[in-house]
Amino acid sequence: MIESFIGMGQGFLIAFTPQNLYYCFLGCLFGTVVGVLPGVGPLAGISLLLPATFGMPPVSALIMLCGIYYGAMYGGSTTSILMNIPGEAASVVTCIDGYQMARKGRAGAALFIAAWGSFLGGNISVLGIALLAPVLADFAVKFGPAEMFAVMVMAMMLVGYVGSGSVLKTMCMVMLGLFLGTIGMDTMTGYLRMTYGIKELADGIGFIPVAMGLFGIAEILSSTQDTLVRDVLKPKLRELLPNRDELRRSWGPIGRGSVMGFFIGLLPGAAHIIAGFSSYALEKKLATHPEEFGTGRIEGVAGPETANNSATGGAMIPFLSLGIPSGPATAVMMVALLIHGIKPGPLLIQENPEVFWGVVASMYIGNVVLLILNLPLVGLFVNLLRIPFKLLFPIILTICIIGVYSIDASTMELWIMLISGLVGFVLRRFRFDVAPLVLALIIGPMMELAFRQSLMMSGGSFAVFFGSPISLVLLSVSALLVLTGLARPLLAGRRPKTNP
Amino acid sequence: MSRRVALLISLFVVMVIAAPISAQEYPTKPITLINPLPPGGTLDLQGRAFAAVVEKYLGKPMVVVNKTGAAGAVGSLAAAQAKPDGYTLCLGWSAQTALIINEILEGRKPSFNIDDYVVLGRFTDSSPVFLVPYNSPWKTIQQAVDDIKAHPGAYSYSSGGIQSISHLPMEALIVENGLKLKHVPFQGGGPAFTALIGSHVQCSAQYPGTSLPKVKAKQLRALAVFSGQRLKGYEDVPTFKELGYNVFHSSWVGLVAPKATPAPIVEKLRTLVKQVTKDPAFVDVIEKAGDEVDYADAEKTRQAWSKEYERLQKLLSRMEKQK
Repeated sequence: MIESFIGMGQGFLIAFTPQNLYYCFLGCLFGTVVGVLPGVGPLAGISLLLPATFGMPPVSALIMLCGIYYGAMYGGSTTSILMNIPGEAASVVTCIDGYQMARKGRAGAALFIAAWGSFLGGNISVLGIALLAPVLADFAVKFGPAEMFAVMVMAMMLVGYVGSGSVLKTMCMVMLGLFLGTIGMDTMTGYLRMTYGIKELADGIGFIPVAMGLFGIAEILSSTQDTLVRDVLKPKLRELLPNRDELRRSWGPIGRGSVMGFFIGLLPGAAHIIAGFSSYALEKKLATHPEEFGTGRIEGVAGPETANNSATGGAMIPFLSLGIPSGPATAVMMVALLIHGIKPGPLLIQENPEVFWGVVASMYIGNVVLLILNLPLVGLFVNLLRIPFKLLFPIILTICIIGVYSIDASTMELWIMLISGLVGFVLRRFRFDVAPLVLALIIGPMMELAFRQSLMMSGGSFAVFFGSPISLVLLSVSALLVLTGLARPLLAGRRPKTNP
Repeated sequence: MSRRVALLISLFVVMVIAAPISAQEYPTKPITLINPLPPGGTLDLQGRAFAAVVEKYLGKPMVVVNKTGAAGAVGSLAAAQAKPDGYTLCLGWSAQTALIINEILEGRKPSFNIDDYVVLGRFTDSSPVFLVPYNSPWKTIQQAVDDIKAHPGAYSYSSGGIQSISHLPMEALIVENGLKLKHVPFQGGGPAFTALIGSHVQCSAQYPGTSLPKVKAKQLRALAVFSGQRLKGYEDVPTFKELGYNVFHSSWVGLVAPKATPAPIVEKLRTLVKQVTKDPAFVDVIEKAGDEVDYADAEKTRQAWSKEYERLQKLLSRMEKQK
């Protein structure tokens, strides 16, 4: 533990040089812009700036790239709240209650709490890294395909919680999402599934075009049917900040979200995207009035946003401690390290402690920088909502199109977004909640891959899922979730009889 | 003379002047380098190093774009169909060949082929290393092979994906020795490493760049290398050939462009590849990552590519038969 404090001290000394502060700020700024633009994610930002880092000392380069990663997480919530467009997987759940808050005139409060929660979540995760990195790194490696499957099963259980409305409708959406997730090339065999000869579909139906279509485009289409009372909103300064009640209700979700997000972020692979909606599901479960989720509850923003940022920190642990990237963005950061001659791996903390601790310290500084960047911007962003809708919608549409096209320069993805928009419009009319669809689309393929890898390794024996303590625990939790879900209506049905 | 004729003549003159000028002034805008594989792998590292260093010589930036999907088929196809104006280049690598052959074996007409590209040059030619977790009971290849033969179907290996550069070498080993070793594909080298380090699989074939740090850190152990000669950084690890196994695999990484790219631009790019592969900055990055720069000019690369096509065709046919 003492070494951690010494290391952090060393790290702060490195991170606080004017040069590194400058790079940190630059990275955060760029990351925020990248995050606000839907479709363009941290991967694109990091890739773009990577060549620019070549002349820089390794620590500075990594500080800047991490800043982008972090900034993108902060920025992603902005479009989710203001325009119901998720910038990336992590922000999908923020759309649900965040956007409703914006419709009720509480956009400022939502943005503020999102920024504040992200800050606290990020700090807790930095603390976690500093204190627990060596211990936790080994933990991450224990997650093989069987354990990942168990995680995904639990995640799917939680997806059910995210949906509002009737259970049957949520199930339909989940099934549709799972189905869409099967389209594309199968990782295990290389066979093309349901692509009908369309080469661009070989990589599957990306969730970003689908999410942007179902959320953003469908929103625009639906709004043509509303009588637009929203124009009249003129937010006052006081209304920009969360009121006392909202603040009070946010502490719990923030606290729970940071811890939960951190540990979920540790999981290898892109598992950290489930941090957001895991937190949402948890908050909904703990709430006294869960049916109000989806109408604009601050807990539905505070929890997920905190968990997202915390998961980002957690995801850095396998990367920094073991040299194992936990997703495309950290993979590129690993390439950046290699290019600078630093070998990521367990020896990083010994051979290049200044890199390890410098990066960790700069994550903390990055959090502060981002908070300072985002809070004043809240007023600016909220004022964006005052733009008359007939101007705002074309802008949103343009941003969506540019965002989706920037991912892969693929017109197929534009078509997918458009079709999803139409489908989303219809689904809304019939009161289907589309969030479970997107989440199932993300988790389904991951779950299937882990399932088949596990069976391949075990030679077809299902015992592999009950072999390790980790997967056993997770599967039990999933079973518990199902049972408590069934038990509640049973108990509720019984209560009127026992109470006179 | 009439205005129309004057207009036509000036248009003609402009066009005539424009053609060579565009080659001389090339590039006038940033160039896109397509990487058909996911970020963070060997291809990505070399592509990004090249793109960064080449800017010095080009004057304009080269931006790497990961256009992933179908084990590299999506990006390769996009490159084959890209406008041949020299502003879209692509990374070529050996497993790309396997993609083509696989389509043929499955009875489909391949969507792209070697002839769709003009070769610009080769960066590296590396061979993978046979790795096991540090605490594995296998200390030599002989032990591993004997154990696998004694327990057919009990062990598995991880790879970065079907037809990836970590899948084919293991299949070469399997086919050559009649082993029953299960293949567990992952999405990219990163997860494949994680599975190996955590002992969820028993072995894997990965490349020096990404594996050397882990071997040094005593997370993994190298039992043999797939190359013809011993590798730098792995000097005390024997080659399969030395140990009596007829197993060889090498994987090259190079630069290609769409076939119809104009000749002056192709020449310029070929010279560029030669220059960059000699540039100390580029060499430094590649060597720090554990690889060796092994430049080959376009002609040599093209021949090697054809030879490799034949070798992989044999391998993949045998894999089909054994299925």
